[in-house]
This record gives sequence, C-alpha cells and structure tokens, in this order.
Amino acid sequence: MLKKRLIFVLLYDNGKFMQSRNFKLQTVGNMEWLKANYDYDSIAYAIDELVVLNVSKDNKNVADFCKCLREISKQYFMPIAAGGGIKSIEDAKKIFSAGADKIVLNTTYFNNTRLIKELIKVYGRQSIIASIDYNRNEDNSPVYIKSGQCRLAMSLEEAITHVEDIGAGELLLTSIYDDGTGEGYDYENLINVSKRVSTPVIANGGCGQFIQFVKVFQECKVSAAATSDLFNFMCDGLQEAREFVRNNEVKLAKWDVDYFKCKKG
Amino acid sequence: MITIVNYEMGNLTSVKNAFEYLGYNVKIAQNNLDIQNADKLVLPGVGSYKMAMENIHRLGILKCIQKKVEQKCPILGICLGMQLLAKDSREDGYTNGFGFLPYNVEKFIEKEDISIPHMGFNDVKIVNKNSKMFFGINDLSDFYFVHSYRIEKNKDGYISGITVYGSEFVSAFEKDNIWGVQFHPEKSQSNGLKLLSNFARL
Repeated sequence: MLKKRLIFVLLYDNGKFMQSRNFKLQTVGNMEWLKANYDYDSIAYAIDELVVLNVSKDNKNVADFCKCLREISKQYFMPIAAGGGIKSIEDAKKIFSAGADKIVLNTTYFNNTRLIKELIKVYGRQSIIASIDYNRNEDNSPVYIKSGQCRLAMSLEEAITHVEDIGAGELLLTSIYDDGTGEGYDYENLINVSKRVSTPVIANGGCGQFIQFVKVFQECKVSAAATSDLFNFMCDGLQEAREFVRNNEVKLAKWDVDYFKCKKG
Repeated sequence: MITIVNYEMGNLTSVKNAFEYLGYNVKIAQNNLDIQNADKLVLPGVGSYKMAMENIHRLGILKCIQKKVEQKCPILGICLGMQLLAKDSREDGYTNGFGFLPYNVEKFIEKEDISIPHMGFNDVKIVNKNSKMFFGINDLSDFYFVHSYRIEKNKDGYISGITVYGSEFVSAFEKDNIWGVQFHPEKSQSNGLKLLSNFARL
C-alpha cells in the first residue's frame, strides 16, 4: 500500500540555512556547518522527501540556489522538491537540472497563472507543488505571497479552489501562525481542506513533537507531514520521530539507515 | 563502465549520482559508438512513451541498443525506460516499444480510492525467490514510484516484483540480462541503492 510521508523543508537564504518562526528567519549555518553540528545526514536518511525552499526576502538568486541544490542532490537518494523565485520556464529548467524532481511555486500561482499552465504542460502536473502560506490568526485566514510579505484579499479556502482550478500535483499548506512554534499543526484547517480536495496535501508549520506527526496523520487526511524545524529534530531526532510514528500505526516506508553509515565508514 | 542512455526524456543526473555514490564510473551516451562500448546500459526516463520512442528513432540508436541486448549486455530500464523494454503502450494512442518482453503498458484504471499518478513509496512483493535484482533486499521493501501507466499483473515467468495500487501491477521484471523496474531506485534511499549495486555487479 501507498505509504504516508515525512518531509523535511530546508530553508535557504543566500547560501545559509535558516530556522523560521512565524516566517521570521534566523541563520543556522551553511551546509558544512549543518553537517558538522546537526548531523544533517541523519535527518536526510530519516525522511521520505526533501523540500528545499529559497526563502530570501530580497532578490532570490536562482543560479546560486541551484549550485546548492546540485550539492544536496549528489548525496541524498530520495525525491527532492525545490522552489522559491521561479519566474520563468528557464528558472524551472535550471532547478530541475540541478537535481529537483518537483518544483514548488507560491507567488506565481497568484500573479502568473499562464506560467503555471505552461509548466504543467512541459513537466506534468505531478511535478508541480503549489505552496500556500496563510495566517489563521486573521479573519478568514488570508493567504500571503512573496515569502509571507504580501497579503492577498483571498481566504485559504478561495486560494485552494484557485490553485486546484489551475492544476497542481500537491498542495503544501503552511500555517504562518503556527510556523516554528512547536505547538502542533493547524489541525482544524487541515481537516477541512483535506476532506474536500482530491490533490494530495502536505501539512506544514508548527510541528515540534513526535506526537504531533501522529496526530496530523490520524486526524487529517493528509498524505505527508512536513517540518522545517532544525532545532527540535536535530541529530537523530527525525529518526526517532519516524520510529515513533510507525509504532503508532501510521504506515511509513522502511529502509536500512545503517547502510549509509557503513558506506561512509 | 555503466552507460546511461540519454534519449532526452527527463533527468539523468540522479541516476548518475547514485552509481557514482556506489563507486562506479558512469558515462552519459547519446550515440551508437558510446552505446557499443558500454559494459552495461541504463535506460532511465520520465514522460511520454510516444515521444521517447520518437527520440530513440531520431537519434538512430534503436538498432544499436537491440544488438547490445542480444549480445547479453545487461540493461536496466527505470520507470518509462522499463516500459519501453516491453511490447507496446496505449499512452497517446499506440506506440511500439523494444518488445524484449511481451507486455502491454496501459493506464491505471480510475477509481474513487486511488488518485493518478501513483506517487510515493509503496512496497514490492518479490515473486521470484531467485531474483538477482532483489538479492539482499527484504520482501515488501518500499520503493519510490511516480507514474500513471503500468503493466498489469500477468502469469509471465520473468516477473520478479508485484505492487498493489488499485489492482496488482508489475513493478519489476528480469529476463536474463534485461531488467526493468517501474519505481525509481535512485530515489528510494538504501533499498534502491542496493538494487542498483546488484545491477552494477552483474
């Protein structure tokens, strides 16, 4: 049977990786630093998919981002999705050829739907993840674009209808209010959304404890649960989370983590 | 030398990265000379069956690949590449493949409980206990799939793996030197790397 997925979202900003809380960013370190201090390899061997997002609030440099992506995709053997700052077919092409299997789009879904349709035609709907950021702490949970900097006059519900009309392989739903808090996912909205959409949903924002992964899978009909929290899941944290989730009757894929450790010697 | 055939369908880099991680030399090839010199061939690929066969004809590499396979050069087809090794496909009308195996490729039947494409990790039931492909890999191991077309389960003796999505389909076959997998071993963590290393050691 098809398994549920645990996803790590790596937040990239001008060569550094970031920790985010309510979309306010704090530098953690570059890739070398992550590997040395967070045992990033352990995180990578514990997840089903990796999402790498360019969350720079100023000009998102696609070329530098791709360089980083190329390094990551060389060493990890799982599906990789990447996005942030894709403004043209050429940008998308660069990101795919840097090793991404899927691309993630957010702002483009709301200001250049023609590009999305073109991308779907060239790469197929299954290669496109629509990322929706919203704030449940405001009336009607309005949606934000441009890395959370610009509010739209559109509710979460309207945004989902809009995105599904254009077409998307998956929906990455990030609750800005819960992001980085560790207090748990926005279960209420996730329950409602996943009930009415046919597109697979990735829940994101708020996970800080193992039990919250279990809760989101059990209560909401989501395909995947994501976290970008390096602090709460450092070192073997995600490995242990995976075990915990599996022991709670959630079906997750299995593989041999020690295989990689032996390879590295 | 493991030679990856570039027939311009999808990303070859991840397959190359995986073999290099395992310590093998890899070459990406698009012409008959490189294909002739290969010790092993890999046919990766995602996208349209019809376009893939058109590209293979346009590049003029069809006969060369057929000849190598007849000479017992190991070949591994991945995802679309696996389907091309079969007889034909119903995708975009009707297209003939290499025909090394007598299978037809057809679309998943739409049902309420399954969404198409079939995407994510799913388990593979190993039906050939002497499988070289799955040597050292547990029964019901998980592999990563992304596809909308598949080869329906049949009684052919060359099938080595079966997966359930809506109904049972062929997720792996091996006929002597001809191997095909519907999933992406290069995206399936250690389970996939083990399979690629079994192929590299053939």
